[in-house]
Amino acid sequence: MIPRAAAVALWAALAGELFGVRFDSTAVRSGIIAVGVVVGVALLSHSFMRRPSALSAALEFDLRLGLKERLSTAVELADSPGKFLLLPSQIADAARRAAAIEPSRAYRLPLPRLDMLAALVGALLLAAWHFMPSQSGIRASVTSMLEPPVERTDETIGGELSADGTIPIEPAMDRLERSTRDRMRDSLEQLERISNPEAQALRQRLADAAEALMETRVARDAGRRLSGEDYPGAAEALRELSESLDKLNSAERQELIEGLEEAAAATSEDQLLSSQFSDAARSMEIYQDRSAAESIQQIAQRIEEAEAMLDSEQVLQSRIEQLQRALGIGGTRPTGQESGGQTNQAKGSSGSQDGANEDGQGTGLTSGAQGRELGDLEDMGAETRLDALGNLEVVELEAGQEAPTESFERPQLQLGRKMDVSLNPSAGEMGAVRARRDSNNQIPLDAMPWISRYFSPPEGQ
Amino acid sequence: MQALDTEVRSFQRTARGLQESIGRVIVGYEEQIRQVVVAMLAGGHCLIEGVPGLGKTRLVRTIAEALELEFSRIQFTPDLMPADITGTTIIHATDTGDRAFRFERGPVFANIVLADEINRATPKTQSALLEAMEEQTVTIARQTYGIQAPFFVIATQNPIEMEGTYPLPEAQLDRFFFKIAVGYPERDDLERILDRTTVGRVPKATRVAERTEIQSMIRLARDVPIAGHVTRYAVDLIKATHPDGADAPDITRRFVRFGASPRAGQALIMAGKVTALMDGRLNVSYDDIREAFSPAVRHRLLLNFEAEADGLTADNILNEIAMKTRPEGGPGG
Repeated sequence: MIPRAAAVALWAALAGELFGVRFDSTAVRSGIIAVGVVVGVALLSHSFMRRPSALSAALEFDLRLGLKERLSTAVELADSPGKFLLLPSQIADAARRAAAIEPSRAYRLPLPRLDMLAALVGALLLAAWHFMPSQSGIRASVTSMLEPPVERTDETIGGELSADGTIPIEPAMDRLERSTRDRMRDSLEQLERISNPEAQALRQRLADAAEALMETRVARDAGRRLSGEDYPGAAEALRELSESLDKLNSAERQELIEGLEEAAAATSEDQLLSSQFSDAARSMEIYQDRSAAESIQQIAQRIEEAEAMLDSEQVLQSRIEQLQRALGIGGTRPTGQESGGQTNQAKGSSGSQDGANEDGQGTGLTSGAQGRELGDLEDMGAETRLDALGNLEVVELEAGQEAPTESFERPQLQLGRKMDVSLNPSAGEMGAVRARRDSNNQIPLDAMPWISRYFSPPEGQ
Repeated sequence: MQALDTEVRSFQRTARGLQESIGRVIVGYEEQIRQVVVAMLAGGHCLIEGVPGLGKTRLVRTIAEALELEFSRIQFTPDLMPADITGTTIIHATDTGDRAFRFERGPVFANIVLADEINRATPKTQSALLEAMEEQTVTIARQTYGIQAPFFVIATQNPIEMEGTYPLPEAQLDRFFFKIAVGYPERDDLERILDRTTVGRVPKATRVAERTEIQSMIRLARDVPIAGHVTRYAVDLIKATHPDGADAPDITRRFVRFGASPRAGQALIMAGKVTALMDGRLNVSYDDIREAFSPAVRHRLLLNFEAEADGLTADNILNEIAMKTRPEGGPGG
């Protein structure tokens, strides 16, 4: 019974490992192992509780040693000595026979070969499973076989096979996109919740203060760095300035005082920063250079503190913008510059701006298009309807002209044997831009050539 | 205990001597001789069945010779009357000249009665032995006469298919401890029979025991211990012959009309005890029961027409039952 219990426990452990992989669940794995151990313990307990009686053992010896029921008769009748006249002689005879028996030699316990084999194989497989490299070899193959299957694309997007064995892509893509959009909206809401609206205001105030400082000779370097969002550099420049206040001539001093006062005025919405600029200016006026230096150093420290918050906010805003672009939501927040302020990006300004970069470079088509309202779309050229990521804005065509809306057939993408992409390339040429963003804006890239052709600029433009 | 051991050894020696003594006269048939000895030492009667000329009568006569017991022989014929067996009351003249009734004992009043060709007599005559066999008494004209122990009836019969035979009534059959089948001898045995019986001097059995010794041997056999599981095995075997029993095997349900009676169970146990003692054992084993199963039960089993149509004998069915009935702790029959 011990080999059987061990076999059950070992195989349960192995099954637990494999099913744990299959269902990707520690609970399943632990559950199966626990069941196996419980069954093994139960088998052992059962065998201990059902040990053979003395009579059973005597019968077994009688059978195996050919004692013709001598021992079992003596064991059974030992308690009723008066029943048979010959019983004492019989018991003496049985005792004599029993004394000559060496149980270990005469009665070899039968080895349950099948159970032992099962336990051995189970132990070997379990050991192999644990000691094999997890990323290569047999274990990797077994794991890949057992892992939950990735749902097939056609199953994911759903849809029934048509008679010709194809699946119309549009309804399936609609469903897929709706699901994706819901998840993206959730993510966007979360990001907007944790976004800090003060960060952008702070950035603007620092930029205004930078302009004021750039008007002075002694603080121009700090102002430039601040304007370029090199906050550590600006803080360092201000600290250097604070250490050389006593070396300024009167003209430089006066310039600096005025610059600091202008900066205080520019940052008036930030009471702390504004007061620090004011304190520095006032101390400079009354030649309290030490006090002025302390105020300037506090400004430097304040700039350093702002840097961390602005950087994280920058990343956050970048994500928000990406999601907004993907969802086709107009940019409600002005985008900033990427970290370090080296690469400018177009601002999506709720349609109020034209999408040009701050420095006037680039077309700003990507985010600009995202941020446009209906009216802007009407003025948009065909090339602006495709963003740089390949996202497509499908517009409905105004009926009544040469290409009425009714005659416009949207492309039917099909999966399967028949990749029949029937297009009506002239439809887009005739219609005027009027309407909405296409819900199927995630058309595969291999469809881009005919999409471009479809949205080629109308003749004459 | 010392005296008992001596008694046991004496039993074993006498039984073995008896078999050897008979074996000197009867060639072959060792199993049948052993069965007859077992039945006698268990206090039972034997029915020996076989075609004429196989030495059945000679076997019984040899047993009687080996034991110093009063022997009588009754040749059963169709015109044999019950009074020819039990005896009758006759009127005789006394010494004073008066006339009085006197019971003239029949041949049944002996220690060993050879009922030769018992199935040649009518059932009425056959039944004359019933009381004597069961109660060892004979009742004539309201007077009961006891028969001196030990009392053994050893009957021979020809197979009932033979002409001029009357099948024994079931009640009569049930009173026989063993039914011993005597078949044709093997080639070697036949050659020895011919050699031994065609010379001038025919060997005779030597006497190995006398009446009191036989009686004490019968008593001793009853004191052999038998364990409960061995008794249960005997019960299982008997129950397996009952066609309406819950544990009856298919062959019993299909071919048996009536199964073995409790007397068969008694015979199994007693035969087992004698066999154990003869083998120098002081307890009954499964093998002892199994050995006695066929001779103790074959004449108590009444087969149906389907069995006869299929050519099945009681021995076929009993062998099947013995094979399928598993004793406690044992590997099966």
